[in-house]
Amino acid sequence: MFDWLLGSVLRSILIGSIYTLMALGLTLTLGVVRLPNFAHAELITIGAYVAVLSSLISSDISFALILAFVITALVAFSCHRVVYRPLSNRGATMYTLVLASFALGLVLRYIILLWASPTGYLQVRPLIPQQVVGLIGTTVILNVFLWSLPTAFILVLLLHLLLSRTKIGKMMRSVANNITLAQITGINVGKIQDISWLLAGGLAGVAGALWAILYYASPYVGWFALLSVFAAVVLGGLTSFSGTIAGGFIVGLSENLVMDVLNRSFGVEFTYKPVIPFAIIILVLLVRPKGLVGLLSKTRIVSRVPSRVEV
Amino acid sequence: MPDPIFSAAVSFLSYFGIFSILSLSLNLEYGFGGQPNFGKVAFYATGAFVAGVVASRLMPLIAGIAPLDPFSPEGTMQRVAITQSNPYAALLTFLIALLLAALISGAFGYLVSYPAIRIREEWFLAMVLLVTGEILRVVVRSYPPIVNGYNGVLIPNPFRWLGDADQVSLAYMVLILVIALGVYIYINKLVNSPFGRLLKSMRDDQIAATSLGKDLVKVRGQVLILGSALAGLAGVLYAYYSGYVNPDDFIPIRTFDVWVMVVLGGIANNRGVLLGAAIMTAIDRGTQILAIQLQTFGGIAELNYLRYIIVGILMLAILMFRQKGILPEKPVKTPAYEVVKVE
Amino acid sequence: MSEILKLEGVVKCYESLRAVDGVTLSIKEGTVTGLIGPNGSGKSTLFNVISGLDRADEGKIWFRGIRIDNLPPHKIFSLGLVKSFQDPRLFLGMTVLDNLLVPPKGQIGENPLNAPIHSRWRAQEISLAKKSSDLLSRLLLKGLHKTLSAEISGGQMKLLEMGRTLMADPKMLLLDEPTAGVAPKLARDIFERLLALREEFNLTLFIIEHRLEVLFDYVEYVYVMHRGKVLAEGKPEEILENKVVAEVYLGG
Ligand SMILES: Nc1ncnc2c1ncn2[C@@H]1O[C@H](COP(=O)(O)OP(=O)(O)OP(=O)(O)O)[C@@H](O)[C@H]1O
Ligand SMILES: [Mg+2]
Repeated sequence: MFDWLLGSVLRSILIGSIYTLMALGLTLTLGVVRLPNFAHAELITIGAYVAVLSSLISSDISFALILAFVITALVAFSCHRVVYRPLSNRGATMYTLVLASFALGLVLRYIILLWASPTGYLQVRPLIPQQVVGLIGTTVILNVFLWSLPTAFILVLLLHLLLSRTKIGKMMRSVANNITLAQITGINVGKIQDISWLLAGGLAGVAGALWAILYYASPYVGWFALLSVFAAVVLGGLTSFSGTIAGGFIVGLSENLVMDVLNRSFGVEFTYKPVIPFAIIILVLLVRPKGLVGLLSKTRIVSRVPSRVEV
Repeated sequence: MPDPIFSAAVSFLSYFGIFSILSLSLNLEYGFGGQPNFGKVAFYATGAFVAGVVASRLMPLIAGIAPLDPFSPEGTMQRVAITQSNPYAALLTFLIALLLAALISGAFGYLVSYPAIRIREEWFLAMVLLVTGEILRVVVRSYPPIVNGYNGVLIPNPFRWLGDADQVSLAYMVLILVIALGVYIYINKLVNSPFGRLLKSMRDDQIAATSLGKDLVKVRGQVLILGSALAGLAGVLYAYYSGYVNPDDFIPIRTFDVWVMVVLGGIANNRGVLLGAAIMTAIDRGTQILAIQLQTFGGIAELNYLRYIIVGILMLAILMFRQKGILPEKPVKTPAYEVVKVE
Repeated sequence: MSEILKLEGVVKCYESLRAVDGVTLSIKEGTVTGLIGPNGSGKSTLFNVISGLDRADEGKIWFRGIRIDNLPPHKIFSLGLVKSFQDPRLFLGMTVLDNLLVPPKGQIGENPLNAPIHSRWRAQEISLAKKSSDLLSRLLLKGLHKTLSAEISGGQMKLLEMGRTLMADPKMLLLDEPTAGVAPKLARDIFERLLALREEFNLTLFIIEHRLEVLFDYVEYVYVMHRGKVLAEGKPEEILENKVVAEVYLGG
């Protein structure tokens, strides 16, 4: 009788783990490079298509994930070197960077469309066979399900170790805390930013690939996910590590479990689903602009950008 | 006059007028006031939705006819019949739509200026506004009572009673251009004044401006009311121009288009912004016409996508190589310069 | 002479740092008072708190008998208390003249309903322009009115910043290092002009300044800050003789 509930919870967790990976990448660029990267969406999309194309060579899921990580990391790195870094060097304001990232995302998205549309790749699944590996009640467990959560878990753990245990991670944190101070203390800020972009891109790529393997790839997957990802980041307090993870899962739960409940009990149509992350953002904004930070723990990969004098 | 050229020219000028109003209003907000309205499309859409509601519900009442179901074919036919036979009802409805749209969009703009006060990170407001526009679209397309959900609603041109289709579109184009010209003159007068200085001071240094006695919360509200009301006007003009209010017309890329016009033409230069609007219209219409032409000769429909790629690259190019746009900003033109010059 | 500004136990903390730590002082109307102290002693922070840009964590502030520690900066400005910035904060996208025309109070054309109707504010604008024209020549900025404020020299920026505060018809000015970055000869010149303006407009001046040799020739009273606290106060000659001050500050 409550099979839908089980399915709903399962979906919440699967999607929540993917959102978490997407959101962690966005948090990295936001913290270390101070850029709310709207083109993050297209990095996700590229990851999804890499999974599709890699499956033409091999149906091995780990192959797809690794390839997605590497290629998307390189794309993100190139975006940084070709567009964002020259702009920052010219003293671009935050708005300029927002516009540039939007423009870059637009260009990438429509180039993908231009290729995908005539070639029949508008909505495709990777050629990775989906097998039933088990049943819980009547809820089917597919082999691909078993990839999403462990992959997310391992990546989050690795990222955590990188940030907290390694020299590079410490440098990333100090750059995020105070760029000028980091420069004075002799940190190679350019290199740290390069690494952050590679990581952010790689995480987005893997997330996109997981999405494609679970569902499908389309030129819009990233764009459609972006709102939820932003909601997760905002909920997490913008730059907190654990907050972002919690944010990813909360958004995943709200869009699936809560939505299903709303639909079944109150007849809310699924077309309203995009309103949920929006409502989360507005609510956080009005009730607790700091997000979940402080409720969970005080550790953050980076501290908030120093606030200006309030006007 | 050969037909395709005539209709291309009319469509170019009509779009140019609408885009001009939109970009002038963003220039007021961002170019002068420094308020990054990344939700322009929300206010534009609000205007169009108001037009849809007013034309479909109010017009029969103004004409003194019992209204039929506004979204049924009969309802549509009723509206067409009224605009064909009753210039008074058609034009009055249009006028009411304009006023109401300005009012509602303006109020909406004020509402949005409020959370801005709470927000510390600059880009955060940008994202919230961007998202607001998208959510408005999602809600209106999912909730039929407003403009019939994603099916949209047909609203006939207020000049339908002129009969000849070419004359109707010509008359409407002239109307758009007259309104756009009015907006241009109004904004020019508005910003070449102490108010314009106040806006620029807020843009250049908020802390210095407050410490020099400026109530920025108030100014921010004022500029967003004005800018949003103007965007609402543009929305009404667009809705009547296309004859069809469709929520899915108002995707976030519309906002981006307006930004391109402003950044391209010249931030805080109204003439530059008109130039930006003209270039954008040329790209928009040009690729549209080209794609249709090519398609009839067996080309691929995907050429339409090129438009977005061109616009995106154009934006990146301006940001990277000509941040100030084509035409540079000018001082606030008030009589003060005559006085100081004389002495 | 009545008291124009009074502070009682004002505290401002940045996280664990007590940048201003219980400052009590009072300033008489029409006087010129100096505020000195080593780098980082909290002088600028104190000015920010008085002008409302930063909120005091504790303490009370009165200006002309009105409690101002809870007012927003623009309200404090409208009472006639105006502050200049240590690092000039000009409106860099605007011309020199436009910078001067921003501060005046009660501009009719600042209301967006009046703004498009130029006849409503033309007369006021012309009289303000005359005033700025006068100020431009006094501040040695004549002929630069059409120049973008981003394009003038550092010293000129400092002067323009001061000019901007004067355009506001202030009752009292808080000047944060008005002569920093200007040539030594000009520094005296600036003080001469300030004193002349004080006579003319009955101004009260409160000035942070590192050039003590200049400052002490012009001020009537001095407060010395050290680590957020008022270390000493008195007439310039008393301060010069004060051993504690010499130790932390003058002596190095
Ligand atoms: N926004 C801030 N956040 C944190 N600490 C601050 C901030 N502003 C000032 N401080 C600290 O407060 C202390 C006092 O600074 P303040 O600028 O008031 O000193 P000052 O006396 O004006 O020095 P100077 O003569 O160099 O201008 C310093 O230690 C400074 O680092
Ligand atoms: Mg200081």
